[in-house]
Amino acid sequence: MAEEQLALQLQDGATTSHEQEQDQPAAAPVSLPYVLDDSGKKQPLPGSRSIFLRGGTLEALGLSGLSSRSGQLVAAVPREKLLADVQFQGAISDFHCIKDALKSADYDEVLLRVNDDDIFGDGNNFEVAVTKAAADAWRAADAAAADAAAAEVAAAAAAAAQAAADEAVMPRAKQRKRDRQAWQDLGTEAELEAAGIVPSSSSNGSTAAAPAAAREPKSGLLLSRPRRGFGAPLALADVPAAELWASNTMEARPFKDANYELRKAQLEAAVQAVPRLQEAAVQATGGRPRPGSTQTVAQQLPGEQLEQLLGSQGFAGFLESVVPRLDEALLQNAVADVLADDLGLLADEEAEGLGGSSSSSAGANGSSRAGGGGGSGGRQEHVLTEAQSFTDLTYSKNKVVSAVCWVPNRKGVVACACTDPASQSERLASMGRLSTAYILIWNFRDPIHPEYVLESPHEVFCFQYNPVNPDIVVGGCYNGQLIVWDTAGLESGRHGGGAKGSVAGGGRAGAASGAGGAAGWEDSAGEEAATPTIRHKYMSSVEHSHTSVVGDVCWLPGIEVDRTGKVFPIRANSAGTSAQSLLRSMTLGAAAMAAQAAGSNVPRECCFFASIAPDGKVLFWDVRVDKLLKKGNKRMDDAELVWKPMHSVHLLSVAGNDFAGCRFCFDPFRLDSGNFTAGSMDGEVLTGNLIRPPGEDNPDYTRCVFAPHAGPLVALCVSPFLPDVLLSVGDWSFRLWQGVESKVPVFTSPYAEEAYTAAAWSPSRPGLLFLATCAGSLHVWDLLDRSHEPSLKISTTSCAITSIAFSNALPKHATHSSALLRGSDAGSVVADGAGTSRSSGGGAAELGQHQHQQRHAAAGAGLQVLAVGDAYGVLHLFELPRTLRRPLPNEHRLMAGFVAREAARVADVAARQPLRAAAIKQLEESRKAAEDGLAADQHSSADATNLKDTAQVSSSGARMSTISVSQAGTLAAAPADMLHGSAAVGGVARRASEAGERSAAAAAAAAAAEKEREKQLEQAEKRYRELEAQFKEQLGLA
Amino acid sequence: MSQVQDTLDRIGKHKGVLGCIIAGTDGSIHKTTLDEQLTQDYTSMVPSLTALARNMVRELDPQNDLEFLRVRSAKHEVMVAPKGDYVLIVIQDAAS
Repeated sequence: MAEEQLALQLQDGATTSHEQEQDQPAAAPVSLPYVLDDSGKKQPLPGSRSIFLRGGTLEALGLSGLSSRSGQLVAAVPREKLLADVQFQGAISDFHCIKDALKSADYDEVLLRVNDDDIFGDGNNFEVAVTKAAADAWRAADAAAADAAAAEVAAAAAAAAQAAADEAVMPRAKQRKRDRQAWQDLGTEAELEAAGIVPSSSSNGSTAAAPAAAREPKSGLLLSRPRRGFGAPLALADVPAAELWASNTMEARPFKDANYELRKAQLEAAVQAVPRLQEAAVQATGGRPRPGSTQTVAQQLPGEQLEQLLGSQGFAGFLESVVPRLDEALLQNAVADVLADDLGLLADEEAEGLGGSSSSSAGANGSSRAGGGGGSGGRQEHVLTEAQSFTDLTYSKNKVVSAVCWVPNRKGVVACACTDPASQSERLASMGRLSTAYILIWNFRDPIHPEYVLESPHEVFCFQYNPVNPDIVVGGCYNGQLIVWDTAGLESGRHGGGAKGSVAGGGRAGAASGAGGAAGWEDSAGEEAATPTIRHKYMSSVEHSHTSVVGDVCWLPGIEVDRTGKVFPIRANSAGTSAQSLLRSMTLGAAAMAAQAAGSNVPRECCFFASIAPDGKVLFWDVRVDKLLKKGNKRMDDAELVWKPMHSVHLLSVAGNDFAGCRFCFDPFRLDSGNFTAGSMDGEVLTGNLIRPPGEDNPDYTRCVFAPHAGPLVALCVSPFLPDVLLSVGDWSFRLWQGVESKVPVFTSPYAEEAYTAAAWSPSRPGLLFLATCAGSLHVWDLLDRSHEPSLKISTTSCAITSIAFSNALPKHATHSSALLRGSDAGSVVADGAGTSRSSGGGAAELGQHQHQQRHAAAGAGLQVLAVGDAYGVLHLFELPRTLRRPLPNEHRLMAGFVAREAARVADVAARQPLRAAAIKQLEESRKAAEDGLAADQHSSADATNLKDTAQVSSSGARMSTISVSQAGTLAAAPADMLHGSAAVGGVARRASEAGERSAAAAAAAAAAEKEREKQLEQAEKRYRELEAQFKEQLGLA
Repeated sequence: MSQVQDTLDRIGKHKGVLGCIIAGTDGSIHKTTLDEQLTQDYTSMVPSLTALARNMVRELDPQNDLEFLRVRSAKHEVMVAPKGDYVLIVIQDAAS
């Protein structure tokens, strides 16, 4: 209440002041401290001046406190003070400009008014009233302004008081409850009525204000949609594009969007495969179900029960019966580990006791070997491991390794000849041109660079190291020429510790330099990145050489062939180079010299070799060309040397043409007998003798020629253990021969799936053969293991194998010469002259030989490396597993037995041949007779019909006997069958004759037939007994 | 009683024998030379196995019966000799 009163009082006060204020302007116009000029700008009042007072002046005059903000605008300053300032400061005084006006001011206390807002716009901050009128006007104006401000303040206070009063009232108003009131129509209804739409049916004619009840009832339209129609999938249909294009439904017109012109080079896309989830539940009882009888749980028994139990009779019985078993088991465990892993130990045993068990089994049944070669277990033992492979980018890449040969007397050095894989037509096209070929000599120590290469002007298809002097290499060229290298210079150079040595042929390369031969090495070494190249020493003259590619070359140690075609052992002093060459070839030479010292007739000189080519000739050459040269017309130039064969043997094939020879070998034990065997490109095998029969102009050297193979022979070699067993390989099969003249092989292999390309006897196991196929696999035939299939097939390369050679196989004839040596060691003179027969030396020689061969085999069983050259120019070296190199204890004998058995089989087949032929003949005869008899029966039936039956019986009997005879013929191999068959025949014939007694003619015929048959049977039986005896004898021999 | 103990002692003298248990086929422990835990383990499992093995033998031939069961493991050999209601279990070190 008090507040309200106060507010009222204030309000009252405010109103009074307002009244006063409003009264004043009404009495006099509001005085302003300025005047407005014509243009509306403010100007100082007349009698006042606008000046600018500096801060210093203001402070001096005490005017600093004046400002429009503080509200104090006017100050009075004595006129003298201002004038004194003017007088004191002179022209720089702020009041100097109004000095005159001040002087003439009509009052003393001059008024100064602050003008800090610069209302006149002239940049000054003070006004000075120089007349009393102006000063009064200012005072009036300020008073008026102060009144206005006071009035404003009062008004604001009144407003605030009013607001406070309102606020004080408001809460009560809020609490007041408004009661509902009826709608008061203030005219809106009428307006709505006027603006409302009236149905036309009621509005025509009548007025809009017609009462609603009078209107006609509205017509209604209900649009309904089935519930299922909501949210139903859209049914869209295809509309022809042309139609759609122009229609209204095409809301978005197609337009070209440059964005889609861009080709997307990269697209990122992601898919997410969400695994289908499936929830399943099963209910299972906890724990593993067990049968009730096996549900046991450990349980402690109470003490007295336990005592009772242990003392019971049943328990004692249990212990009695059980303990012996347990003792037995414990004893077993103590004595032997019964549960040891025998299979695990098996491999070890096999590895250790190699061949022991297999040989015993072989000895037991003699016919086939169960274990060993192809047996079970020990797989590691059959794996050929590739030790190394050699290929050279310049010399052997993309070439064919046409021949492989191990360098004798040097360990781990192998030579291979590389030729172009050109076809016959390609070769014909380049015929006559020089196509430099190389023989690469690889050393195990350097698998990248060949140790040295032998260069040849023509491609070399076969080459052989001289077995006695390994410095000499002879090769056969594609054009038929023979070529000889001498590596002595290189050898001596290497042994001398540098490349200072010179080569006789190589010297020509460096002919330009004065140093001649000595420079040859340096030059080639520089060019070929330290691969020395050796040129050939001699080359046979083209006219006297073969006319086609040389198929094979073969050294003939210890013999000499002269121009008349005679063969004789080499004369000890005939070879001038003998001692030197022996000295040069250290190892073998030492052995040979030792043998020489012992006084035996060892072939310590080997200077002849033979060559064969498909032109039908076998040529014999002497490598002692120097000697020939000296003998001849003293031409010293190697290039002009005419190197001719000493002897030529012309061979004829089955058809009488030139024998297209490609492989040959000589009788190893009777080299001077001159016998040799040759194989041809046409699959023919030929035996002949190189010795020219005296007194014939056109002698026939061929003894026997036939074609056992369908394709060219790829190998023809004598077994290193059984010198009478010859292996011939051609097409898809190989054959073993024991004397080719019989034309029947001792053993013929089944046809392989791939053609054979090379073959070699194992140097340490007599029963082992290695055959290479054109598909790049090696077939290892262990003839003592199985003879119907290879016991091992090893895949080596992806292309055809072209040649194989064994590391420790003695060179082609060294084997045989050493065999000779051994034979002579055993105290028998073998091969002393052309006519000496080996059989004269007999058993002792052979026995010694066998012993030595066994020893040799054992020695060769150490480390064995098989060099395999393939059609891609790569030379692979395979290390043989122990099973393939270590011979069985008596393998030599077993193999001999195998060959003898096979020979006996062949002989048996051959011996049975006439019997079979006879049986076939008889079968044919009896068939004919039966037919005749039938005809006769038909003839006689016209005379006597009652004879017909008997005749038929007879003829049927004859037919039956025919059948029996044929059975007997086919079963001739089984003697019991045969005897039985013959007995049956006799019986049938007898029965036939009994039946035929009714007819005189039939009886006579039957009797005659029976007699004849019996005679034949007797003969057959006799022959069979003879054969049997023969066979037994052979078996006993074997 | 002493006979049983003697037998077990004799068996225990064999090389590598770790212990013997005589148990009932129901799992009751009658005599043991092993410690309690091992005995518990063996006795709760071996009779079950023996019963299964016997079942197998009898299934194959009803006239046949299980005589002896040897279980060779990497470390031990468990030899079980069942007879009637009792089982003799011997555990031997396999390395012996």
